[in-house]
Amino acid sequence: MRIFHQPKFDFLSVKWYCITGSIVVTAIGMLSLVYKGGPNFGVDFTGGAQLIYGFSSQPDENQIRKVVETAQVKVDSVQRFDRADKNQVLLRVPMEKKEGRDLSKEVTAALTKAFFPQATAGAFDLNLNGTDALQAKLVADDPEKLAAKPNSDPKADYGRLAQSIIDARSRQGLFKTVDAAAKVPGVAPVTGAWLKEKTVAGPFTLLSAENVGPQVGKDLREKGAWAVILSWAAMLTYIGIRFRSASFGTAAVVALVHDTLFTLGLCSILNTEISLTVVAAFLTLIGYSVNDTVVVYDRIRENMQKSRRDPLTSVVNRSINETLSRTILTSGLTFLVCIALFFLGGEVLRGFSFVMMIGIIVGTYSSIFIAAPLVIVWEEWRAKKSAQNSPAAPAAKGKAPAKAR
Amino acid sequence: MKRSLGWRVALTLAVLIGSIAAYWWRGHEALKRSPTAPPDPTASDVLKNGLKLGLDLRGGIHLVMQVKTGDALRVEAQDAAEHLKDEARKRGVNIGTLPPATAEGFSIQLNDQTEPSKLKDLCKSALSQTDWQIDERGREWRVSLRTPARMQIEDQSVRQAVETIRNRVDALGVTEPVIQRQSTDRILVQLPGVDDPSRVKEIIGTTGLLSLTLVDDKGGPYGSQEALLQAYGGTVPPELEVVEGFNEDSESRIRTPVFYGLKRAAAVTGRDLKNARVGHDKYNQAAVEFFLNAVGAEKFGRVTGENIGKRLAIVLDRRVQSAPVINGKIESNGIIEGNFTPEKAEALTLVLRSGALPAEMIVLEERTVGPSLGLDSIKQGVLASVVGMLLVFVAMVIYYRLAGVNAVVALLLNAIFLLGAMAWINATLTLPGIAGFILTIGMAVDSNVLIFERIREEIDGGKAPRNGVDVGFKKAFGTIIDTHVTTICAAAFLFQFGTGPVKGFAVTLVIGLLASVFTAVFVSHLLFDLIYGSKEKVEAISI
Repeated sequence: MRIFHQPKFDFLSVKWYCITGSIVVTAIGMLSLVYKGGPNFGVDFTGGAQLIYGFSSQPDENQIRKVVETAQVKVDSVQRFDRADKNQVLLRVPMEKKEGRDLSKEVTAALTKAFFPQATAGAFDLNLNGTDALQAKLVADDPEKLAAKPNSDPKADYGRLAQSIIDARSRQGLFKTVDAAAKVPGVAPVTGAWLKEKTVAGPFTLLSAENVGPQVGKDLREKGAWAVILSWAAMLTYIGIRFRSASFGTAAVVALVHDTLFTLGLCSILNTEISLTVVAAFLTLIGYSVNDTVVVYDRIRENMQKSRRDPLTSVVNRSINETLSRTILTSGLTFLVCIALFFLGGEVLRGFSFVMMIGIIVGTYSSIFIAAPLVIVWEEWRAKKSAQNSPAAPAAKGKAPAKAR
Repeated sequence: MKRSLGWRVALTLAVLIGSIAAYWWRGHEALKRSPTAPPDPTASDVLKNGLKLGLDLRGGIHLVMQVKTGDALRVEAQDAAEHLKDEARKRGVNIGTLPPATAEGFSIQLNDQTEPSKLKDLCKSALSQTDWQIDERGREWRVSLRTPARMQIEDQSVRQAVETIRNRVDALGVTEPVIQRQSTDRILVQLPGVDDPSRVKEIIGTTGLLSLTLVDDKGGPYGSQEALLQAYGGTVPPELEVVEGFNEDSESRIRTPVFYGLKRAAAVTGRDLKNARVGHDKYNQAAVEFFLNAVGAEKFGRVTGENIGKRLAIVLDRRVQSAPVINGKIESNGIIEGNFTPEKAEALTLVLRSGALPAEMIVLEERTVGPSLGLDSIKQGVLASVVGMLLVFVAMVIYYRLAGVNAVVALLLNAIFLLGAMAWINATLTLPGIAGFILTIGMAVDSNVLIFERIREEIDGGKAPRNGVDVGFKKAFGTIIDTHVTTICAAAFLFQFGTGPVKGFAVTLVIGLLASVFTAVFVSHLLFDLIYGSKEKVEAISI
């Protein structure tokens, strides 16, 4: 099976349309970025807190917001997280001026007061405590009287027990009742009775809490920007050395910067949140989109050696055509993988796979329609300039540059 | 041309067996060390434990704390100031007044009787010239730490904080904790499997600075700060400081804040502590009993013996816990009351036993992932990987037929090598790492595609099929190296930039790409040779 059989498209005839189009679209994206006052940074970069709660029944976002705000915690947004049937809520809290406030504790306390009023103060909530807290409580109360038994290690035994109870909770989402915990395999009847007497099962659980201070956010922003810029520079250097040509290196990096800014602009227009993993996607994208360009360049170099007399334009055009099947197929397969990740990989990876998907399309487009034509534009410009400087020299227009091997 | 198949098959099998063995061995090791592992693990238990999971998958706490080194500097300056005062008293030198020290140092306010030359001699002999710098500005002299000394104290205090946190985490019984100094004053703490942020932060972040300090005769307690100041006529004397405490009603147990005027110099500090354990107070409420070492007991005995009838404040982290009246000479032990729950009292004894932190700490970054979210992520990530891989496999077989099967085998081997290598170097698998795993499959297939397209071209160009395969592999090799270098280069920057989960992604990507050079170039070529034998004459190649 073949996608193209010895294709002969004239890619270079449309180069000015593509270059203009790319500039326009990227500019629109940048305008959106400026208009919105920078990228839509997530909590990793802005600082602030992000809490995810899982509820036992349909949560009411408005009520949650009201409850939390009454507890003197500012709220940016309350929204549903992941699939609707999971009853999960994502709560965003803006950054505190002072570092070190324990927001998850305060919000959890407020929610408990509102949604679980029957709980007495200090009750041990199985859905809010972790393995180590449960272990500590079991060891302190010792319902199975292990301390009195010879050859027993209460700390280890209760640790295993606490682990299996919390594991069961993880599988169930959260315990609807204390009975559900008492029924976990391995829980002895005495312990079951102890659980029923000493613990409660509240209507929600804290799934994750992130609290990033202003300093860390700023550090990460700077580090991220530097990583992107330095990887651009590294690509420029590598291609420059590998192809011994400034034109190849520069054209590749212009295409690369184009890919990054284009995707960033699109993210801004679509309001995609820029989290740590999304920046990871950007950096991966930088490596990936250079891939396509390098494959085309490799072929251009090879064809230049084979047919030194052909004008550069036709060599480049032939090289793009020869590598076209490979470019389309590889990008298509990687795209396929990213689609699987986008739809099945869960909420956390959605932003990542989205950026990868956009990036693959843009990267493939730019290596064919931007990176290769730019080499021609550069060489033509250089030839014109040298022709102007020394009119006696034969016009080198369109000729393969002697420098590139 | 003779094709030596033997060693190539042997090498491939060796790497394959090595990968599986490494994974299996790591799984067993992990189970052995896990306190919650089932007694007789099954094969599936071992497989599940072959990779170390990151905090985002297994649940846990990630904290970045900052040590406020200014605290340690202030204490150092205060100590130096006290020492200078002691020396001045011994030698009968009038040095004027010394306001409370700050992190920058302390100042000496000369009065009319102060002789600058004598003071200068005193400073020279009492304070180390390499550590302290004295700046004479008329009637007010500034004494400040020199930069090397300051840096040494800062460094020392961060190191001590790391040590203290390690002690406390060890006492908590967390398996495989990470406690690392990150930059000059930051400490990274990662506690896998712990999902109780409040408790952990309380234990790690409590300074645990205990001091037993005499309450001044007029030192209260007072109901408000104003009342206290009034008793001293507006300002407290420099040797005293105002510390907040609380008063507890014995009936209703309601606390109201009160203020004490305490002597700045503590009689005994937590440094002289030998042990601490949970005890009970007079209401049979949980309390913390502490025991002093010989040096502390001697000092404590002297102070309590000389001050019978006065109040002694038990100050924890700059808050008065209680201020009982000294009824007689006490030497080695005391009790901290504070209406603790048994858990709180237990936590406090742990903190006191592990020693005080040299300075206060603040949490700069906190990430907690509960176990259920991690479990969900693993399920979704594995599903996405399997589906993504199957899509690629199906596409390859449809497009390249037998050669596609060859690529599928190479990709499967790639996946096994990747898992084996990660287990071998004990790399951490994170959620983005799972994405890296599946992306690797998408990218590794690129090498196969490059080679196969090249082979097709060579055959189209008139080469004999068998020769076309060899030339295709050879010509594609340079390009494959180029594409790998660029991606790995980007991943290196990613590693540099990222925090835990993103680092995991970079590691997975790099290992996967390295493995793909081997599988796509070496193994895939071998498979061609195996399928078509060593005959030079092959009619056609299924590609």
